Formats: sequence, structure tokens, C-alpha cells
Amino acid sequence: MMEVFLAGLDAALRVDTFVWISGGLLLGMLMGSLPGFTTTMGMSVLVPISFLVGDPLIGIPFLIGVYKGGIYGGSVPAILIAMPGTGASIATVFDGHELTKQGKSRKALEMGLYASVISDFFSDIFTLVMIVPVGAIVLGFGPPEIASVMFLSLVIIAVTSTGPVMKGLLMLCLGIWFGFIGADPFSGAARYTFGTNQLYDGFHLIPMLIGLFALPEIFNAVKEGDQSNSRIATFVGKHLEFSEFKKSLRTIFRSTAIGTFIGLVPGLGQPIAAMMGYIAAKNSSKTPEKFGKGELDGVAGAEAANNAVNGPTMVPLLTLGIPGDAVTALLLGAFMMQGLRPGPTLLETNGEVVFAILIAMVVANILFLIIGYLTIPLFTKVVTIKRSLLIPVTIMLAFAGTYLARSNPFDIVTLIGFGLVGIAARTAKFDVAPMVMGFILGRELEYSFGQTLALAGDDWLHFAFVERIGMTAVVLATPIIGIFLGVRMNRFRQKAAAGEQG
Amino acid sequence: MRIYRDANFFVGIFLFLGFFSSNAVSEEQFPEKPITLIVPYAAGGSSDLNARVFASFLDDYLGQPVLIKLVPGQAGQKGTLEAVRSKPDGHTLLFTDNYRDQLHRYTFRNSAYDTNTDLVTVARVNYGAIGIIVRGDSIYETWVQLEAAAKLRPGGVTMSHSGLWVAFFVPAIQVMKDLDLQLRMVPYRGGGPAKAALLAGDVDMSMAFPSTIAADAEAGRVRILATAGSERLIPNVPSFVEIGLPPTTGFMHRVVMAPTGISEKRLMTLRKAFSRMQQEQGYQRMMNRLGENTEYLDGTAYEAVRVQQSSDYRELAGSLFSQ
Amino acid sequence: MFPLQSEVRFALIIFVLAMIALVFSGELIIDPPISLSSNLLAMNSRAFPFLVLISTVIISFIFLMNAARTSGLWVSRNHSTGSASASKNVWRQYVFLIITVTCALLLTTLGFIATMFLLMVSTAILIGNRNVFQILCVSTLIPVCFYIVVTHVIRTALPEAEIVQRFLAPLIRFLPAF
Repeated sequence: MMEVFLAGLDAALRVDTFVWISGGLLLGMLMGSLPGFTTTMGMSVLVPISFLVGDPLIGIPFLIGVYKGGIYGGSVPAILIAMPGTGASIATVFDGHELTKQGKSRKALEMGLYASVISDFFSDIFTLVMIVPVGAIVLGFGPPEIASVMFLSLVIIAVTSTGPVMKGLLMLCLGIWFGFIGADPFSGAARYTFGTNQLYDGFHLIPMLIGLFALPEIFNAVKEGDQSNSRIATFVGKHLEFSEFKKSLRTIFRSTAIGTFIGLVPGLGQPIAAMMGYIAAKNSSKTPEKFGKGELDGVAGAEAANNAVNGPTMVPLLTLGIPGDAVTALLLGAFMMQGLRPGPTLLETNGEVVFAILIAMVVANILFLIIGYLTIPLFTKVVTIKRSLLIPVTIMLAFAGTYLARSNPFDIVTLIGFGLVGIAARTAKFDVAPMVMGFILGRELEYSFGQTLALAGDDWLHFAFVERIGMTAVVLATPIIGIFLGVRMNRFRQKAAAGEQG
Repeated sequence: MRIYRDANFFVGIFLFLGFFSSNAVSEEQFPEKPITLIVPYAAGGSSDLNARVFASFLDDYLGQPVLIKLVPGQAGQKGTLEAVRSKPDGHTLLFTDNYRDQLHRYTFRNSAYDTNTDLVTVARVNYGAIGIIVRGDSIYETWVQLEAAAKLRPGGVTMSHSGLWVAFFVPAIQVMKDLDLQLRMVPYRGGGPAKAALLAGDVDMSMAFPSTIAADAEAGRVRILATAGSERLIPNVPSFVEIGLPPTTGFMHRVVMAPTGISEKRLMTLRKAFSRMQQEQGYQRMMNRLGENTEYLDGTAYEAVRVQQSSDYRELAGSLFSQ
Repeated sequence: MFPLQSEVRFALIIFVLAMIALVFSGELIIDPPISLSSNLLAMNSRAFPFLVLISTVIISFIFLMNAARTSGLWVSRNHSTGSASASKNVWRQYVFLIITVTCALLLTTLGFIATMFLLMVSTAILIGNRNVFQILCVSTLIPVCFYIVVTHVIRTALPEAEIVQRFLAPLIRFLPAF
């Protein structure tokens, strides 16, 4: 193994590889910051370029750079204009945009960048070092385990949302309801589609996110009326202070662990990681009531978690040749077009290529930091634009981004529809985060649960307690964890309420 | 919502017409603008990849760029509908497979089009013959053993499949119907996860195209128990016909189709371009890299295959209706 | 209905909709032509929706009961304000919503650039920008640039009227090919 690793190291340290990675990172950031332009789309547009280059040590790291850049890039519009650029930035909006409104946009962007880079770096090292043993373990994660982890996540999200638990639960159920509208994943039955073709595929996530988060902000701006010269914030804000950064180091490492774990489990993905990272940060903080009102730790927690998913997600691909999501499926294709077949044999025959790519990934993070830091001033200028100009541009981006995601006019209907829901929820003081998570998780949970039922067959007792004890353990632990967290959040809520009145 | 459906039709045409001012297309000039290949599959999947590869080679043989338009959704119906509604001047083509062409009419509700009357085959690009696989260390060493176990315990043998009414599912239904077995099917999102489930030992058996498991079979991780067709593809491994299945079971054909109404002359031009591309070594090498064969079949010959499939699937669907 | 607190209103609407969805689930869930046996089908298509809808009904009911018990359902008199600026703002909100919805519906008919132009101009005016030059400049340039980037660089379709496309085609041809 060691010789292969060193051979890989030797192959990776080339100038042109890093030039191409930087190009990929920059492109990825730009594409990620364009709402609606998902990383998958960007990568599939660029796959032909990676193929034309001819060298897998350039072409593949290029695409990986695009991927990493894209996941971070989504946080930029999330922070600046409350529009998540990708599903991964969903949790960044909560505190990111509030910070912008307080004139701290630069701090928020920088925190997001540092958190993303650090977590990506460490999770890539983990992937590099643990790829062989972890590859074997990944197979152990089947539908029953996935279903139980999702169930636990749902409970955690419901219990830790802002506001009373009942409201959180209600929004969660509403989100799951929106999630199952469409085709039944098992039989293809049309559920609540009223016979329309458009609803058969269900609602799309991007227009929903844009509608729920960005449109209410735009609506509020319009509501406030005549403000010909106001800006979101009059100044870009100072740089992030080291002391502020240091306070969030623990959060960043915690989120790295969470994101790495979620990356390894096929089918979970960045949005769930971001949400879990955010919730964990909120829970471990001494001042959880500040979350949602402009807490840097919240941005750190979300951004670290979503970037930590990138590296480990490649483990099933590289060790078993099995893509876990659309991005890894694309990478699989890119590999094959270069003449490499990911799978167990790849490590044996072309091990140095695999290691070279992984090493390039690790080093890419340094470039990531530099490029990100240089582009921040450019992005932050956005907030200094007059609101009366910025808001029209924002709403154009909302429409354009929505259409970009799927070229489906029905998405515009989704956008407006969820915009109205978002506005109503905001007025009624219901938190939309559990609804979005319910939407994302509900669909996956139903599918995994169905798979679990099919796997279990009739003898489910044997299945639950002998074959899949891991799943059973998680399921049994869930109510305990839920109650524990719920009580804790309640105490904080009471403290906050008392603090406000005092 | 009709306005949107009509508008999509507009979009498809006008977006590409907009790049050129001339409207009149004489026969000698065909194709005189880029060709759109509608790919009604998910991004990054094997179909997407296949389409992109041969589109890039086809450019040279047609003299115009071939642009991929990915239109996933509604199990392929959305993209197919768009192709059916497009102008039949040869500039819009559809990339599809035989299950969607002939089977889905029975399994998915659709009143918008009929593939038999609305689409005509340009060419079959390649096909894959599926194989039944078990894990390398499985207790089943031959198909006979597996079949016996399945007969003994109805619903006791589990199989992972890649999705409803596609490549793994349909042959399995045929197996259950013709060999009078009851398998318990566990759904997965695609061939990759289905294979992972088998390797993990979660299920007893699965199916796969030999190209995707060649490496695993060689390494002994996977054992192939039977292959589609009437002849043996692998020594000592029975064919589907030998174990009692119809000869067309388990074949997935990838085809390029055009909307009916296209002129004969243009159809010929397209078919000629396809067949010439098939001869190119570079193309064959690339397809091999992707693990696909290059078994080309001309459109007219494939139409006969379509008819055969039509009756096969009607029979299959009919048997399921009565359940 | 209107004097109800906004929270209560929200929960009540959800409660009612969930009840309706439950009651009509027979008609609103359409099975595919071939129904499969339990060995072939992992889960009944109605099981999960039923579970979710029942939970929604129960939870919204509990929430409404709680609200009735603790803080009361109705908005107290002091909450309502009736200043002139408030009503003017409400007008603004409605206009914005109507314009947005209209533009959404017209997006595919009028084309991307035209619709975005209308939307941006009206939003800018509603927010209070009075600089005509700025509004027109931004509302024309930005959609056009966006359109060019998307269709030419990223090669994705945007709905656009034929006239506009022909107009822009020569411009696009000047750009380097991708």
C-alpha cells in the first residue's frame, strides 16, 4: 500500500493539475453562486471538457474542484440575498442572511469559507487514509440502517426547531405531505396529482427553497415601501476576527465529523448534513436563542458540515464502483471515459491514480482557501447596491434560477406557491426549516422503509434483532434522544423568554 | 396547464431556429442546423453517458452538432412526449430503450402518445443481454439449485432490482411467470445500488449486464448463473432458453427514434450516418470502455424486433392483469 | 376568520386541508394499471400518505386546542392598527403579488427577457426607485446578459420569443464558441 501511496503522491504534485483544479474551483464557485444552477448540472456541462483533456489526473481533479467550489458557492447567495444557491446551503440562510442585515456580511462569508475549507480538508484526509477499511464497512449500510438514521434525524429536527415543538412537528408533517405528492416510488401510483403530468414528479427542491426563503424577503422589502436609497447594509463589514473564529473551532470540528459520517451513508447528502451540523451547533451552544438571529456559529456549523460530505461520498464510488448520487454517477462516467473502471480492481491495478486523485483533492483545499478569500470582496460588494435595484435583480434571479434548474415551467408555479407559503408561515411565526427537511427526508424515508419491509419479509423479529441490530438500536434510541433534546431546548426557550421579559 | 405543454414544444423548436435565419431546408442540405437528441433519462446515468458518447462521434458523420437535451421525468414520458410533438423534419431525435417503447404502454398510464404510431426507429445503437447473478460465496452454485430453493419457499428468495418495469424487473417477472416461482423483490434506485445490495449479502440474487460485473465475476465476488438469449454466452452457464424462458427475455435495446412523418430521404441520411459511425474504431473503443457493445441494427430490421416485443409484452402484461 | 390569530389561522387551514385529503384519498390516489402483489411491491401506495395525513390532523388539532386554552384564538382589539400608511402598504403588497403571478404565467408566452423586464421594472417602482434611467438600464441589460450566458455558455433552454432570438442571434455569433 505504501509504495502505491507514494507513487500517487509523486504523480499528483504537478503544476498543471493544480492549475486545472483552481480553474474548476473558481468555475464551481461561480456556478454555485448562481441560484438554480445545481452542481450536477454544472458538472455535466463540464464533463466533455474533462474528457477532452485526456489525462485522468487533470480531468478528474478538475471536476472534483468544480464540485467542491459549487457546494461552497451556494452559500454566497444564501448569505447575501437569502437565496440558497444549492440545496446544501439551506441551513446557511438562517443566520447568514441575518448577519448580512446587521452589516456583517463579510464576516459571514469568511466564516463560511474557513469552515468549508477546514472541514473539507479533514474529511478528505479521512477519505484518503481510511478508504480501504471504510470501503468494506460502507456495504454494511443498507436500507434498514439508512431508514433508522433518517427517522432519528427527523425527530431531532422536529424537536429542536425554533418555537414550540408542536409547531415544528406540524411543519414537519406538512413537509412530508408535500414530499409524497407525486408518483409513489414503488408502484408509480399517482398520489394527489389531480391527474396532472407536472405534479407526477413531485415538487422540485430548488424552486421550493427559493420560494420559501428568498421570496418572503423580497416581499418584506416591497412591504416596507418607499425606500429609494436604502441598502441591505451600508457597509460590507469588517473582516472576521480571529477570536470570533476561534470560538467556532469546536463547532467546525463537530460538523466535520457529522458531515463525514453522513457522506459515507449513501443517499443522505449535503442538505441533511448541513441541517444536522446547524442543529448540533445550536444545541451545544451556550446561547442557542441567538441562533436564527445572526449567530456566526450557525453559519460555521452548517457550512462545515455540508463541505465535509464531499470527500467521503466518493468512498463507495472508488472502492466499489457504486455511485451514491447524481454527482458520483457523473464522476463514474468521467472515470470510465478516461479508461478507468472504479471498483475494487481499480485500487489494485491503478492504485496510484486513485491515490493521486485523492491527494490532489486534499491539496485542492488550500487553493480553495486562496481563491475563496480573493473572491469574497467581489461578492460582498453586492450588498452595497441600492436595495431598489438589488431587489428587482434578486427577483429576476429567483425566476431565472428556478427555470434553470429543470427547464420546467411548472417550477415557476412551485416557486410562487411556496413563496406564498413562506410568506404565510413567516406571518404566522412557523419555522419553515422543519418543513423543508420533512420534504427532503420524507421521500427518502418512505423509500428506505419500504426497502426494509421488502428485505425483512415475514420473519421480521429475526430480521430486526439478529440481522439488523444496528437499525433496531437506533430506532429504540430515537425517542430517548428526542425527549432529552426536547427537554433541553425547552429549558433554553424558557430562559430566553424570561430573558426577554426581564 | 395546457399552455405549458404547448409552450415546451415552442421552446424546443424556436430556441434552435433562433440561431439561424434561413427557414427553408432543401433535401440536399439536411441536416442544416444542429440536431437535438432528447434523452429522457436521469443525469449521469448509463443512458446519459451512452448518449453523450455517441452524440460526440455522430457530429462528424452528420455535419452538424448533435446537442443532448436531457429531459428526465415521469419515467421517460416527458421526454418522449416532447419528441413526439416535435417537428418531424429530422432535426429532433429521441434516445430510448425497448422497455419504454413497448412495455410501458401497459404499465404506466399515458394517453398522450402511442410509440407504435408516433415513433419510427432510426437505428438500434446497441443491446445488452442480462444475466442472473448471485454472490460469489453464495450457497447456490447453479441455477437449478436457486430455482429449487425458490420453489420450496415462495417469497423466501430475495432479489434486488434497479427500478420498476426496467432492465432487471421485467426479466424477473418473466422468470416468475414462466417458471412458476415466487421471488421477493426489493427495489433500489438503479443498477449500482442493486449490485451493492447483492455484494453486501442483503439479498440472495440479482441481475446485471455482463459488462458491469465483468471485473467482479473474474475476481470471484459474483457468480453468473444464467444469461439471456438462446445461446450460451459463457461456458458452463446455461442460457435463458435452456432454463425455460422465451428467447427475447432479458434484452435491453438502446434505440434512436424519430417522430413519424419524417421524410424517407432524411431517415435514410440519418441511418447511413449511424451505420458509418458504427464502423469507426474510435467509437467502438470508447463504447468498449464504457462497457457497452456496439451491436448495431438498422432501423428497418429493428422494426421487426419491435413487433415481436409488442406481442411478448402484451402477453406478459396480460398475465399480470389477471393477478 | 379574519380576527383569528395568524398562527391559529395557519394551523386551521392545514387541519382542514388534511382532513379533506384523508377523506378523499380514495379518489385522489390513482393506482397504476397493473397492481402488483405484495412480493413484488414493497409497500402499499396508500399506507404512508395515510400515516402522514393522520399525524397532521392530530398534531394540528392538538395545537389548536392548546392555543384555545392558553392564549385564546382571537386577536385582541389593541392589535389592529388602522393608520393610513398601513393601508397604503397593503395595496403595495397586493400589487406586487398580482404582478409576480402574472409574470409567472406569461413567462413562456412572452419570453424570458420581456417578462423579466416587466417584473424588474414594476418591482423597482414599487420599492421606490424613481431613477428612470437606472431602472430601464438594469432591467434590460441584466436579463439579456443572463440570457446570453445561459443559452450560449451553459446551453440550457430559456423560454424566449422567436423575434427576440433572431435579434440576438448575430450578437451571439460574435462571441467565442464554447
